[in-house]
Amino acid sequence: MNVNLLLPGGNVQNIARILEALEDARRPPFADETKAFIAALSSVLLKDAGAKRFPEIQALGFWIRPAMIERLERDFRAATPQRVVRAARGLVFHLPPANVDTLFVYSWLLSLLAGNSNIIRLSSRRSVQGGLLLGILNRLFVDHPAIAGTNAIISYGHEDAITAAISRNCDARVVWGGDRTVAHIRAITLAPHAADLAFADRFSIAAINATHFLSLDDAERYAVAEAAFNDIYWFDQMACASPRLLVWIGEDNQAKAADCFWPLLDRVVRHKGYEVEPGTALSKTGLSYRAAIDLEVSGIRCFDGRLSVITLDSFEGFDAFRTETFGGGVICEIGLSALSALVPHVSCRDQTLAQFGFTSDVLRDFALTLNGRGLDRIVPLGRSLDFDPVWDGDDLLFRFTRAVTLNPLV
Amino acid sequence: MIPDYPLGACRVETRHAGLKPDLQPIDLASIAPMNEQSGSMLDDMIDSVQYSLPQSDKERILLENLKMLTARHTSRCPEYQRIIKVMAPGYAVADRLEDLPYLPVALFKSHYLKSVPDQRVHTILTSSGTTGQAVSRIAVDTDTARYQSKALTAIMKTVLGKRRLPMLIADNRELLRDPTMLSARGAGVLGMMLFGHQHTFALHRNMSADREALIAFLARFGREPFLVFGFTFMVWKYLLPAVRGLDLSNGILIHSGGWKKLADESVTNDVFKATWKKETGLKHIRNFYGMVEQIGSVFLEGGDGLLYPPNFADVIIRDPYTLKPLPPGKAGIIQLLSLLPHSYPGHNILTEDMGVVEYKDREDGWRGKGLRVLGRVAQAELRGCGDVHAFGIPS
Repeated sequence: MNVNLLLPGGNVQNIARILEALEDARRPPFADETKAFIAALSSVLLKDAGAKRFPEIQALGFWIRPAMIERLERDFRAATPQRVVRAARGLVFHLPPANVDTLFVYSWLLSLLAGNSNIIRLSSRRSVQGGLLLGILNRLFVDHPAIAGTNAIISYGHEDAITAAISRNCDARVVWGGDRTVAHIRAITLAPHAADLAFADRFSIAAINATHFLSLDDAERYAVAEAAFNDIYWFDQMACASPRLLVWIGEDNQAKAADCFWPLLDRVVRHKGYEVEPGTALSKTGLSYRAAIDLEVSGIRCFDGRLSVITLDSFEGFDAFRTETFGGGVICEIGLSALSALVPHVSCRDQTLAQFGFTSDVLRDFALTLNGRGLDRIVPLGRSLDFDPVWDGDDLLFRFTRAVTLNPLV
Repeated sequence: MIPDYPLGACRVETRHAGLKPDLQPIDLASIAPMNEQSGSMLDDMIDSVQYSLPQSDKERILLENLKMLTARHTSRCPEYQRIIKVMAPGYAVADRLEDLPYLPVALFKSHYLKSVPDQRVHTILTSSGTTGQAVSRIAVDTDTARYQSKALTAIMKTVLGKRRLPMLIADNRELLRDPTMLSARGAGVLGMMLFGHQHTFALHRNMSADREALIAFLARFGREPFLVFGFTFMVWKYLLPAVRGLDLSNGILIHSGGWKKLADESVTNDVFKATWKKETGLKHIRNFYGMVEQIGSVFLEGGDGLLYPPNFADVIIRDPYTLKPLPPGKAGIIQLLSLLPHSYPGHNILTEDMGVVEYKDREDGWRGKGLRVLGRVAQAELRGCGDVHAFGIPS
């Protein structure tokens, strides 16, 4: 069974041979050669002329910088009890989402730091960013043969047999994607001892304190709109962390805040030159009409093809609607009197709350009231798409390692 | 790509014997008039000579009557009412056709929209695209079904005359074998068979030509006008090679469906026509455009190669981003308007096709807007975590 070997190389190879080469290729967690490779990658990503064009690649390069890796190592060691020795799992099989190109790098590098060898399956379709990353990695691999020898990025068609072969021979499998992808992969038998991580469909929300927002001056308000732009428009609003509902918290001033905010966001969208294809514009239109039928809609604002805002009177029908896939700049909004009023409407599918204008006390109370109902992370507006090694409730570094106990607990 | 007519594979669920595919010729004159009130505007628009109504007259008539249809559907289709309430509560004071509310065509996939009770639904036309896509469901009652036949007749009469002609079908007989499960091609063929007799299927099940049947047909009917019908790629790929060198100069070819496959082989409308003429002498060729979501809106090709709406229908082109109407000469999304859909709110729809109106009221040609269809809008391709790359169509 043959696959396209994208890294290292660029030819077609038999999967059995690749698996053989990656067998027994463990390193200790946070090995020097691993850290050296990641530092080199960070440096290239931040400096490469091609990479500089893409903010998400810049964000990646910055995130994996030496200072952050040191921080991760410190936290990792501090959280490991005396009686435990952390070891790599072995070979980790990654199935990242089809089109969020930078996500595979985060997943892969954390696994690398954990000491594992890795096989990553990418989609055969490549975006500009994806191609750029592969090019950079291929060049770096020349200088880091130890890493090159124990990691592979491949692509292949819809051949479950290949997925099955790798799944039988790996020590952990991590799949990101929609519910259907996760279900499909889970149905392919994993080696009995292997760890199984899955990140399925999520929904994310933004919350803005209307009173606070209205108290800001023009420049500050524009800054809020810019933060919201990053959250909503990166990855065409198709990441699990992209907000698709914006909640205004206030008292009889929510509409006023909204009226002020959306034109500002539209200005940012125009300034950044964000554009969608006609097909996407049509899809956004279609979604607005579906919302008019299925939800309690009091009005829809359309800023041409750039931004559509669906204003809701109540949450009625929203549970079913939140499973719709939408992106490219279309968002629902609703006004509430307090953040706590959101709690009954939060579901286990909800991942991120991007918030502006709330004190840490209010947020802590909110998290406590939620009590695990949903929302795995609360971040400041503008930081939704920051990567976190604790992802969807899973501490990836720990999940990618095994804990070997030296002495019993007593 | 010009969509296949009807859209994708079309499955027809028929409820009454009357509409089962009946391969015996039906005498069109025996179909009772649709509407007891002979003054009904739709009847007038169907009965009057097609393509002779000046655009401004048409717009005036359509404006008032589409408002009435909008009111009708608003009061009888709860989902439609919710849309109008949000999108266009003040439509009644619109003074331009462009200001009337329309529905994105995908809505017929996500919702089953109808303006008649279930018992009155005579047929549900369904269309499915590629695997994984949802189906459009179009509720047709007896009235709408009969209007559709009447309309199709009025349109085809323009090029076929009043007599039923001997008919050659560029497809195979198996297409109609199961009357409860008709594909797009089957439903299209069935509709067109009303205009012909001595129906002869030119192809075997495996698409190879039934050479004996072809020769026999031409020997018997080739010296007088006869009708040839088929889907564009079928006619090009399977029929033409089989009749190369034969004399089809008395034939009238009506075809519909996507040009995409032919475009892949660099076959344009001009090349298509020129080749048929050169190799068989067949020179009367007409294309048409339509979709199951607005049945009866058959846009027939005029002498100038453009597609013309019948008297009771119209087209508007819109910018995909601003959704503002565009003037002739500017390409955009095709919006279709029609007085025909009574049993479901398909009277004003925004399609997923791109097109351009080249002319309005040509002096030396047909009246009304002359449309050129440019192809399907490319599916939305958004990057993201999910495995749905094209959003908008729920499945």
